[in-house]
Amino acid sequence: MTREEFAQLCLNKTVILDGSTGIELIRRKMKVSGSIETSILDSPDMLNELQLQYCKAGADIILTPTLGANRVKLQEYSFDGSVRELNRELASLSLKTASSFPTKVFGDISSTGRFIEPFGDLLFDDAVEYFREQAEGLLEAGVNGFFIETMIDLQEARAALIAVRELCDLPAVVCLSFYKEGYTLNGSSPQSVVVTLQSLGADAVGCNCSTGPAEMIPIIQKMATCTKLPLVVKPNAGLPSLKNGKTVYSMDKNEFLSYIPNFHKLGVSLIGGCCGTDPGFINDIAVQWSNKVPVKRESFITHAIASNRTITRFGAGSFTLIGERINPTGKKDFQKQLREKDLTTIEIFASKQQEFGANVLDVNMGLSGIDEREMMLKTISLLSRISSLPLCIDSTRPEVIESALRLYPGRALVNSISGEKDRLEITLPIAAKYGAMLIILPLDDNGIPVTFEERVLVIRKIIDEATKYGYTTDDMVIDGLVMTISSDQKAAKTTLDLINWCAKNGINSVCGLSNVSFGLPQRDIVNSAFLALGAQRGLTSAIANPSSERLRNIISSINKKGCRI
Amino acid sequence: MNHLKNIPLSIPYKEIYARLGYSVHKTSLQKSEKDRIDAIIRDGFSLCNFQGIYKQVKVLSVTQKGFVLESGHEIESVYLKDKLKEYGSMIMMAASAGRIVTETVTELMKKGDNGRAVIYDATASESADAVLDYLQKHIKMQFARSGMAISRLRYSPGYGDIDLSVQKIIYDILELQDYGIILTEYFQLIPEKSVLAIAGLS
Repeated sequence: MTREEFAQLCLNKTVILDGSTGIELIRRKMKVSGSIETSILDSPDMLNELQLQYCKAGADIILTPTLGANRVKLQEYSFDGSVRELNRELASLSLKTASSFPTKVFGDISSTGRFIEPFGDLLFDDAVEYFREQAEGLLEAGVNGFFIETMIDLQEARAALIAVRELCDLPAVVCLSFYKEGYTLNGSSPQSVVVTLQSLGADAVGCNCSTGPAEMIPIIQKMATCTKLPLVVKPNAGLPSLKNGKTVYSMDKNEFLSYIPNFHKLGVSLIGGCCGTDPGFINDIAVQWSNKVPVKRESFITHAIASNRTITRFGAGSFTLIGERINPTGKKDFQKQLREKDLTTIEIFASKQQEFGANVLDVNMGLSGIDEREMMLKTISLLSRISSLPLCIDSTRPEVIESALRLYPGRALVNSISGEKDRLEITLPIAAKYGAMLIILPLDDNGIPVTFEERVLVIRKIIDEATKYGYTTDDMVIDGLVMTISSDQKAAKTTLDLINWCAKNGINSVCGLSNVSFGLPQRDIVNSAFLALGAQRGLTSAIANPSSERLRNIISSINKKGCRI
Repeated sequence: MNHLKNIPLSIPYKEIYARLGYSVHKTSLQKSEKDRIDAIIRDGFSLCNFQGIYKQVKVLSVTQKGFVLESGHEIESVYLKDKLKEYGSMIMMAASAGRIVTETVTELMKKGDNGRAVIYDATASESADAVLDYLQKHIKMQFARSGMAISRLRYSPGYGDIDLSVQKIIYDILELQDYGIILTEYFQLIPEKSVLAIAGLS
């Protein structure tokens, strides 16, 4: 099944997924010795019977019984066999069962149970490697796609998705588990989850397990506001409780089914069940909903970046302030600290900028005498833990940007992609691989164009190149390229004209505000005045120092009036 | 043994304010005062280094007085027996906010900055409890895939008739000395902002 075929399927009908596998097999008295996954190999007939029932019930997609078949989980049961082989064998069982039905089989991947950097001690690349090993086994068996599910940590979901994407181009669905408070256990909002995973190449996103259908409705509502992807739900049959020493789920299939119309109205395309559901649930969902075309969602935003907790939108009626302080240029004490690998000032800059209303933190570690890549990764790790703001990765070096984007547990903004050959041929594909949003810089190998018209030509060329990687102008912010007015007073007007052009073309714009006043006295006044002029022309964001009260007041006024995009 | 480091908690403002004596209906607080307290809470929170440790222990038998565990330990508590007798296993949990925040509180008290010290102390205490909440949810997810459920409530030594000496049993089972946590002869935990608890696992 290609990704296009999967997308088409999700447009044409409500795709029916299977229900619980592991818990249902235990309920059916499958003997468990060690892990559920290895136990299934001792009782293949029980799996066959269950999955046959799901296929007959009308499931369009069933999942391989490989939820915990990753190296880390299996080690808990002292498994010393081949992880790849185990996955291949288990997936082959499901594929054999489904072979006489139109049902597709997706390879099931879930959590290792460990914390991944920057939050835990499992290295990110090790996590990717563990998931790759599992995915390779599933792929060898011939699965039609992948289903990454029951993830409680967005970073771990990223690791699994990157592993799949680096291996193949099959459809990949990603579901996280949210709690009734509306966040994942590690504090990710539904919006940050979808913005991050959509940009990273997921084909559908949603939630499964942890709660029943009622608690999933507000989560799906939030997800629907910021993704164009098909949405997925796989709820539990209510919440578990203990009765006579056994775990039971509170909801019968009629009550479960009563929530499906809510999901349908929200535009959910894939529906199945998780813990406590069985083929009876799936049969009834299929009978009632299989032929229903998912409701088309008209309104959603995609011009957003995300931390692992929240998102920041560009445009959408509010001005975006990108805090510029985490940059050693011109800060001697900070430079000294960075050379000693001391991150204290970064922590202070981050918290102060957030306090002063920054929506994004720019991170630049360009300094002679330090390992820029190492310090960028240390800073990203720190900021991901202490700040909820999304980051703007600011570097001229592709290898720094690549490492940063790979580790960053969200969707970052890359500062910047210019029309220079290296940026287009090396940095742009890297940014595209990790789905980063782009700051487009209107300069090329010939230097900075003087006229407005020349700058537009460069921008059009960059947009054309980025479009080849699947980008749209929603994923871009055009840098007005502010030059200092102390050396060329006409340069400011060229920038304003460019900002105006962006607004007219519905593209977000940004400017490095403090450049305009370089070499002048009373810089704060000049910066603020230029910000007001830019906003008048439709400027939607600025890279600036949020500690300026004058600047904050102007932004407050802009937000009251509303931006043009 | 399962060990989680750098647990990404959200600041439990509501619980911290409650610990500090704030009551929605009785306490009057200006916005500027609240902003200042929030900032101190954030500072205190940034000094915490949260870690959680947990382990599943099977119950060998339920006696009249309590439980006998597969580790060989006996827990005497009729209260705990009543609450957890249906569960076949127990989850032993430990949470800690780390050493630095406690040391800073002591330093602040020495300097006479008692207001800040009290807020830091409340922040660390409530956050350590929040780590246990986090652990319970994490454990729930880890065991759900095997059809197992964790009890909704957890119980700590000193609560009901659970003697403080049960701290020693949990401490030994979790081998907390390996994680920088010390238990004194009076069953006090160091770092001070550390908490232990038991939950049931079906």
